[in-house]
Amino acid sequence: MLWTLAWRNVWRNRRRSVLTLATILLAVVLGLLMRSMQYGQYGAMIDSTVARTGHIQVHGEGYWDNKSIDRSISAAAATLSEIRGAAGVTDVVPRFESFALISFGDRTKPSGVIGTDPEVEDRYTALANRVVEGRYLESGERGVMLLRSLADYLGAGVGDEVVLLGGGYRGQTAADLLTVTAIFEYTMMDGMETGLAYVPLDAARELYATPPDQVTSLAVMLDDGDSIDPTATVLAGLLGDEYEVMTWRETSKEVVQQIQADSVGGIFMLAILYTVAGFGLLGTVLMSTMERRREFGVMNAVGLRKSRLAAVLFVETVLLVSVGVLLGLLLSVPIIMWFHANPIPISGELVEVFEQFNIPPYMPFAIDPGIFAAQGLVVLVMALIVASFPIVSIRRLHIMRAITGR
Amino acid sequence: MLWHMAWRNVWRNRVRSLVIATAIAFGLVGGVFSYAFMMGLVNQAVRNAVRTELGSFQVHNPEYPADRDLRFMVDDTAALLTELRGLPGVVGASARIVGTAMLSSAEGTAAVRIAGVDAARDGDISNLAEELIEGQYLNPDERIPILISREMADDLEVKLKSRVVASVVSPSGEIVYGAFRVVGIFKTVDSLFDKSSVFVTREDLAELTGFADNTASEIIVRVEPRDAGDAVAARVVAAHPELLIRTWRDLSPQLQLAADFGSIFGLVFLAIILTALGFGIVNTMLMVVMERTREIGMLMALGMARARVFWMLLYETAFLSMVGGVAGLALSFVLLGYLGRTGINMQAWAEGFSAIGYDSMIYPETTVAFYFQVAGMVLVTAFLASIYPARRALKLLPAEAIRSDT
Amino acid sequence: MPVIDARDVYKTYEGKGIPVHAVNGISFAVEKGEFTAVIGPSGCGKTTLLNMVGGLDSITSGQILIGGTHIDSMSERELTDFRLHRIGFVFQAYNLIPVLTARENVEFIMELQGVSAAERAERSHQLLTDVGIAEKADIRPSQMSGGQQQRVAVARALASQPEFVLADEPTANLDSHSTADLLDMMLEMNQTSGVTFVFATHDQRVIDRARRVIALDDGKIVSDTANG
Repeated sequence: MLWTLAWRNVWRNRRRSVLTLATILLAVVLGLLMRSMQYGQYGAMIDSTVARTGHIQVHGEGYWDNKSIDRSISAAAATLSEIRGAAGVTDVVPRFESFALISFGDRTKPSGVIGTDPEVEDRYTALANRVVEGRYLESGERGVMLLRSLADYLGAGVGDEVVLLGGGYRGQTAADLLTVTAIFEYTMMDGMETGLAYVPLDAARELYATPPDQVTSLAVMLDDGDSIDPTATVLAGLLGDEYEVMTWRETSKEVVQQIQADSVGGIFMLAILYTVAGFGLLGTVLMSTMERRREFGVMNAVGLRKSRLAAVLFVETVLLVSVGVLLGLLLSVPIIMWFHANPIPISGELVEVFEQFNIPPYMPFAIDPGIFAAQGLVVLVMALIVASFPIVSIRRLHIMRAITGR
Repeated sequence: MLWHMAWRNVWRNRVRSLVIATAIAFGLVGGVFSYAFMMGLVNQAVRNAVRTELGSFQVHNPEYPADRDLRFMVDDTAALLTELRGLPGVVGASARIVGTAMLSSAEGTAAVRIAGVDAARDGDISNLAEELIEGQYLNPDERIPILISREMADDLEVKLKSRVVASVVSPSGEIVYGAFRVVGIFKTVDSLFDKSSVFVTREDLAELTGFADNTASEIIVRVEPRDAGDAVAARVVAAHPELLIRTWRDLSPQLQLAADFGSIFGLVFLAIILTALGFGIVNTMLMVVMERTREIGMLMALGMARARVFWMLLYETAFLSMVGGVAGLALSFVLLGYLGRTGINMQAWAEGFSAIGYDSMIYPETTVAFYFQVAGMVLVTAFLASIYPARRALKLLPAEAIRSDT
Repeated sequence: MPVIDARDVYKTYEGKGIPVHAVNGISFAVEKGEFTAVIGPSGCGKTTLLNMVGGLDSITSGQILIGGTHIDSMSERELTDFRLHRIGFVFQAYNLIPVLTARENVEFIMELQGVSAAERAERSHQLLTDVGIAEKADIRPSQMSGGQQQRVAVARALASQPEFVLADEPTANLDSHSTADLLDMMLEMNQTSGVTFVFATHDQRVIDRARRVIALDDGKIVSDTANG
């Protein structure tokens, strides 16, 4: 009967309860939608970062602090299969990165040079998609792909031969002549002083006169983003001291921090919203409690223990909040699922901002238990705090004063 | 009389009024703070960019921007500078030679943007001198001085008094090499800027590249107050159709976007909070109306016109809302006054902030006008919230109301 | 054994340094089957006294035994339980829980006592019939007249099979017709089933029906007479 009592009491003043539900609903729906969008964005940022750097990166010892090609490492088949053999590793992307001056005719521009396996590179960073002229690199050929702004500056086009000049391995001079096979776009780099060029891995090794099989980094891809740290430890143990093993969180610390800062900001705003809703709830509960003082007095008089009466009031508040949360879920979950499957495309100037972070220009919605976790907790705490007010009120109830209205 | 009654009525049920007032106050503090934080963040980024890097607007040869090729010059700079310095609001105009270079030390090489500045006048448009953490600013009496960032110094493994070599493509197309001595090391909040910018004297760079007197790559102009910059730029555009004039907004569209986005988002959030509060206000006023059905009926029976009853309730709602509103705004004012001075330390996310060009110390800021805007928003909310309860009150016929059991 | 046995009961308040005796050393007893009215002007202490007798308020000094059990030194929780099982109440107004029907209001008490569902249903039906309101069993109080609500209150008071029913100004909000009906019903319950009723009242109609009238003034009993 006490449960019936609690439930019926919630709907006693329908209008008031509905309005209170509206505030709770607003907070829950907005909270969920916002968190879903935030998590979606974080996921996209992480995906794009990992696609480039791998979940784990393996370099030569000391390479991260001083990116000299003298610290390159061997990516012999044996090493590669050792890494591939570790649990959870799906792939390894070898790269040889350095600088060079690229010239065509009387023009020269400094440029980053990335030597890579074209097929593997494309698999993870969709590099072939960026090609706007010519054809994508093929493994083993003596060709180069130029960034559009670099190609424009040099006045070089597909089929032209460009000179690459730089510092080679162990003090040798790096010099070579390569044919431009393609021109690609990468708007993020447009404002920068340096150009960017891709060459096949062997061509890079030839250019910089390194021993065969050398790479400056190995990007290790895992099947499960959650097992990064244990796998990193395994690899570190496997490979020994001439190598250093870093997770993407270490190599892209600023991404981690951006996500954290943004997330904290989001939580802060949620807290404000929920507190406002909480006040709305408090007002309703307080009013309802005060109005029913006489009724409480009579109930205690005829033999209902204060503790049980307090329990009824507690349950009333919890029920009201639960209904609000449930409705909120019913409203938000379908919306989130719809947008999860059909992300909102971005247009206009925002596209550039997204590309700056190397994220596909969509507004993704994530379905992640994390979205619900924090909020569920907040709602629970809010309900408990508000529900404690009537309990205090009951404790202080004096039957006769309540009944006679003094 | 109506005002008086309305005000008194607000306090008839002290607890209830205080609860909603506290809700409004709290919600406002949260919303205003969020807005101010965002504005502080964004304004700081703009200020830094304008003050250190971009100036209010820049003057170039129309063909310059694509590749920063030194070939494309601005002629007759002396006259131009005089003209610019004479414009109202302009606090500084200075000419620079800016090109792309490779900077090398014994340990490494970096691609940079090298700027040859007028050491005497450059301080008018850039506060780089204040960002020095070691050494001193460019001194024309010193031999071949260069300023580099902390980051670059670490990458190249150099320090004060170290020697570095810059290789630049001159206007005639040949690569020229010049040695420089590090005299100062700077650090700004924008790590992208730090990574790629070095500064030398105009004389040294002109000698190296063969720039004639009275020519430059760019002229940077600074206008105070900042907002007047666009108007001044427009005047220059009209006066010199042969030149390319770009404001900081043109030079950094991402910054402009962030600024717009920030303020919109802050306002939207505030609106959401007010909506949530609006429900609470409706609830409260409904209770008020229900409780006083008899009284209202009596007033109407005694001859108080419906319109006046409506206005009385409206005033009551407004007063109720403004009690919380004023308290909230006053609290915000004090809070923001304090935080605006001491700042909020986002140290934990310092790297993340720095990577996107923000300082880790944020100073929230608002204008006085904004407080009035918010007060207005609260009143609008109160007005909208009062409609439903007031209509309910007016639907009562006097006789019915008196007979009803209140 | 008397149903109510009050011995030398005091209720004292500290009023500005001078102790005020709202109940000033009262002793009396009520036997089973009485229909007794306690009267007196405002401030005479009858409400205070009956609150203590009903276990609704604490005693400063003295003893009160209900059905032979001391209630003077019970804790709040013990008093609540005692009231549940041993005393029935009819207040002036707001007796019933608005969200429950008449039947549910009566069964509420029984459920708190742990009575089985079947027995609750049977007894609530019986009680509601006894007070003459069976046809309104599944209706909420807001849809009944004042008199009908008070009848349900009586039924509820009897649901716990109490030692006595304490009625505090039960007729104050009713018109004369309903008052007469209610009081006659209560009198009949008293005469046929032997239910003990103790009234706090100003109402002459109650006093007329009472067989014993206790008058209080200034915290003391001034008269205790049998009525014809």
